[in-house]
Amino acid sequence: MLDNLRFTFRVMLRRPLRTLLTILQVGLGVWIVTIILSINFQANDRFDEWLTSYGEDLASIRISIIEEFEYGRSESIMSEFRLDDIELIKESSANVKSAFIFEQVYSADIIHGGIRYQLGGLGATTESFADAMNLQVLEGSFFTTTDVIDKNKVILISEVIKEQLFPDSSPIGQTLAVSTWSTDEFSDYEIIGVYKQVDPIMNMLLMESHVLIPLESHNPYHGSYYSEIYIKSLPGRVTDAVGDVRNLFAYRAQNDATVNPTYMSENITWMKESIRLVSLFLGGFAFIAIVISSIGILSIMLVSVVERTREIGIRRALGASKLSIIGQVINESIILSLIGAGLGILAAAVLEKYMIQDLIVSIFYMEILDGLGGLHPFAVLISLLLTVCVGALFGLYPAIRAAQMSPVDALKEGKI
Amino acid sequence: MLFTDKIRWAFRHSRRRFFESLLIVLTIGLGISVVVAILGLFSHVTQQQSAWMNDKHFRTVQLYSADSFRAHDGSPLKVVPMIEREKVDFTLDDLAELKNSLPEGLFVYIQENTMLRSKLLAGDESEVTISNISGSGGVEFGGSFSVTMQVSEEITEVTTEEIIEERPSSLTSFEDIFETHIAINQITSDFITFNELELESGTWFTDKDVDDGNKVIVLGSKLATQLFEDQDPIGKVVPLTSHTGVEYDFIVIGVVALIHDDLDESFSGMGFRSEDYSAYVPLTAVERSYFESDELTFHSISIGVSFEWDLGKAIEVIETEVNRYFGGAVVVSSSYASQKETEQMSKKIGLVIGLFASVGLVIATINILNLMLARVLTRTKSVGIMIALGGNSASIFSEFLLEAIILGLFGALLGIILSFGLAKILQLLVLISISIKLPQLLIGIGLGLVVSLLFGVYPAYQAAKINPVDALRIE
Amino acid sequence: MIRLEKISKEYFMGEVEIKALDSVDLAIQRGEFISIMGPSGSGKSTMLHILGALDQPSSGCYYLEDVAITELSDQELSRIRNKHFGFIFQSYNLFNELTALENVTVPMMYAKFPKRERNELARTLLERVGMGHRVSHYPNQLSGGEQQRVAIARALANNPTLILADEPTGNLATDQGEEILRILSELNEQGTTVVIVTHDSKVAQSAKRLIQLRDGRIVNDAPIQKAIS
Repeated sequence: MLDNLRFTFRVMLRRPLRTLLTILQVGLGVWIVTIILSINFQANDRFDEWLTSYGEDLASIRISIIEEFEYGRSESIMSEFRLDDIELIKESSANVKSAFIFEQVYSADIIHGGIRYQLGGLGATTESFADAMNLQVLEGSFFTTTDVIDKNKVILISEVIKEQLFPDSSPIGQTLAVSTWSTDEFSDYEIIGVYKQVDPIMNMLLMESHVLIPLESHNPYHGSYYSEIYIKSLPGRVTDAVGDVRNLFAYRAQNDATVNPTYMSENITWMKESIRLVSLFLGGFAFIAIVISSIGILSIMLVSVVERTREIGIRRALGASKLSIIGQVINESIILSLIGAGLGILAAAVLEKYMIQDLIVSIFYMEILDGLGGLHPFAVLISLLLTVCVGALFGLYPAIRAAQMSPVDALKEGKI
Repeated sequence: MLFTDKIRWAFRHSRRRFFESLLIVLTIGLGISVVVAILGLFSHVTQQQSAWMNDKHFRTVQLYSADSFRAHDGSPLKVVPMIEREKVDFTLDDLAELKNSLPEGLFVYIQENTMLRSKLLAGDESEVTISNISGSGGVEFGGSFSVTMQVSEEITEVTTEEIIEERPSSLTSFEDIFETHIAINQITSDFITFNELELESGTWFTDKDVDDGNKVIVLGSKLATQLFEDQDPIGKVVPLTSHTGVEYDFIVIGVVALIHDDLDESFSGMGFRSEDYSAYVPLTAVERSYFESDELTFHSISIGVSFEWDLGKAIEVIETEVNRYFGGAVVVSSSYASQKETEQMSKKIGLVIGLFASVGLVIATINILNLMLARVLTRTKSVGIMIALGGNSASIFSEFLLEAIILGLFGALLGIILSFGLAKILQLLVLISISIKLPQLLIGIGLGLVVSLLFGVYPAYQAAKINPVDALRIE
Repeated sequence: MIRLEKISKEYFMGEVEIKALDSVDLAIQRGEFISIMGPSGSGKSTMLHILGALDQPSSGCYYLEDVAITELSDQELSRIRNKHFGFIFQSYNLFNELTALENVTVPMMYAKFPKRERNELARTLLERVGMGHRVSHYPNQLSGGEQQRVAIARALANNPTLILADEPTGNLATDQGEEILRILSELNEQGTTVVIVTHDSKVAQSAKRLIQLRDGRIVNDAPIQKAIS
């Protein structure tokens, strides 16, 4: 076996340029496959992680009129929910663990230390939010039912805001002047907590809210009517919970309106689907690249066999069996592929930060995939397996051709 | 050797190693097909993009009062200068002033849109109010290329500002509204010039009509047919009910020529309807909607930038003039920056896709290089004989190069054929129609040539370097 | 017609310098039939390559009809090879992918003959060497003697001044070899100048003038009758 390997290497070194080019060919193919598979696997892993950590049992419902058109659909959402409805939901459905309302105020200002700031976003919500969203409160505590009912002017700020406004001291107990919808009417809020702006998918839901206040503690813009209620069900019972709540509010849906749910998992499935599409799209290129490099191996091995007709003839004459000739050629093809694969994976590993992070993630509008990086072990494994298979498969035909040459003819002259 | 002989010779050699040549052609073909298909996709996307860019909508700049206008850049915390700002309400005088001071090719106008009920439509008597239609999200396009399809922001803006304070008793669908209401554009004269609206019959209203608030109306082509069928609409009366319930009679003075003859009513999704269903009245002819004060003030002025202007340059000119006139109390808002950003983004996407797409072609070229080198090696003796029979290094070089080029061209040909199939598959995947046209085909053939030249030269050079004496010695 | 003046050729085999030809003077007249003989390594192949302008001497002068061809460019040399010399090799060196007829047309292709003319001429040439019946056969369908006859026809293609044959009978059975030599003699009778390189004295006998080489020098140069005595 070792002799066999040594022989293979000697053959490869006899034509160094050809060997190099072949390895390069395979390497390029493996490089692109590894990168694309990595993106796909990494993204899927992340989505699955999110799904299990809080997405699975989360849904929202709204009352709306959905109209389908030839070119798409439009949805007109009504504001039909009140704060009391949260209690109503919890009382009437055994499947619901908690419910909350989250209102995004995308234009809000604060004044601190005599400076007025525009906030990236403000969220007004109810007490169950923290629990349902696994919000990590770093300092202080989240607001309570009483805070919500009494419309207390208390506020939680995100870690980012804390770093900017209170870099050295604890903000708890301090006050911030807040105005929603960027009016000039400010009111003082007491800071009761700091929370961690968790991962990007959470951010997507929070719509980049950097401070949280009790739902009706600011001037309610919609009166006290809200368009959406979020429901966190008991584990695995999200469809039942949604069913209960739909029945509960069915009477409010008038005319063409219906109670319509959105499952968090749907969002994730949708994102998974779009990542799959991107992977499929790019994977198509990778596939073609692999096909091309396979053909490359096939043709170069054929050429190499033809060139070595004489050598093969001598070996046959010296007693090598057909099988050992086949083995020798396939060996060579696999080794070439493996070295190429090693090179390709190495290149992918070196370039992955740039390729995966900066290019793909930012380009395909998937901010939620921020921080994604590194080669996925499965991707590496699949690439390696793929190359061995390709090497063996495409080495087979030249190997058989080599074995079929009669030793006499082969010795006479290289004719194929 | 005559050129035809050389070509015949090259074909002979390629045919002799038919399988190998086939594989070369196949690899080049595959490589080129991917590139051509992707180029087809790119050309479609850029075409669409430039069509959007050239849309009048994107060449319109809005002036807003700075006190209420906030640019939202998504940063968590941004310092806001604490200057007491007065709200600027634009008046018709402001409009006239700006019109005078801005150079040619910049059209200054005020446009407000509203939906007004008309008894002419469905004869509906019930009290239907337009309530909070918060048009959620646009058309859903499949795939990941919805990037270029963002629906303009202005559309949603209008609706959020017109949300009424009392809670609606019921919600009306778009369909219902369109059945009883007419989409009214309240405009000033520059709107007409900028949008180059042609009349089918009648006349446009004048500046004086705008100043006096005359109740005249110009109908969209399809609206005219809908209201009056085959009768001549000019001079007819269109009754409109204002938001406070007052009825006015508007006299039809013109009909706009058909704009979208291919666009059907069904495009009313997303809350617009074809412009052919809307009507135009002097800005001042209709009672203002809920929020506006009863004075003749307006919350924004629009400036249309004609095509002779470079948009970036025009925005600079407008900003200077606006700052001079309003002194920082007014902001100039346009989609120019985001357009540029989208453009940049598409370029970046194109680069990555192009990179991935061309990997196959690169592999294919390495493959030819490898195989052509091997060919030179096996044909060493043959080269020796050729030289003995009267060949020289130049002729040997050109023979081998020609062989590579012929393979490359066949590869390109195959690539072009394959690219059509690939385009079909891609179309299913990204849901964008891909058109492969002459330029892409030429690029495909060019690529085949370049690839074969690039990687045929070195082997050909190797062949030309062969020493005939040594070559002839090979048995 | 041909004049070699003090032609030397050295080349390196690894570190060792080999003197293939050492200051050789030789003159060849039109219509001669010369055999160059010598043991292997005597420089006879190098002599043939230099005569045929395939190789350049290290020093010395080569005049072809009073033109010093040692000073010509690659392009001009190739034209001279094409027009003035016809090569015949021990292993025939026909192009396997071409038919007998096509093989014969190759030199004419280099001379830019139009296709039809080329084919007619090639057919006549093949008939002249007795191969008129096998024009569209491929080399591997022909016997060694037949292949060599095709090679002779090819060598005659542009009506060359000089035919250079390198061991033309080396791979052939005796009767086939004799046939080839007979053809070459016949050609010489018709006026073609022929140079045969061989180590076989029997083959050398068919020529009219014998040049013997040893260690890169001409050791004997005489008409055949003298050589026998």
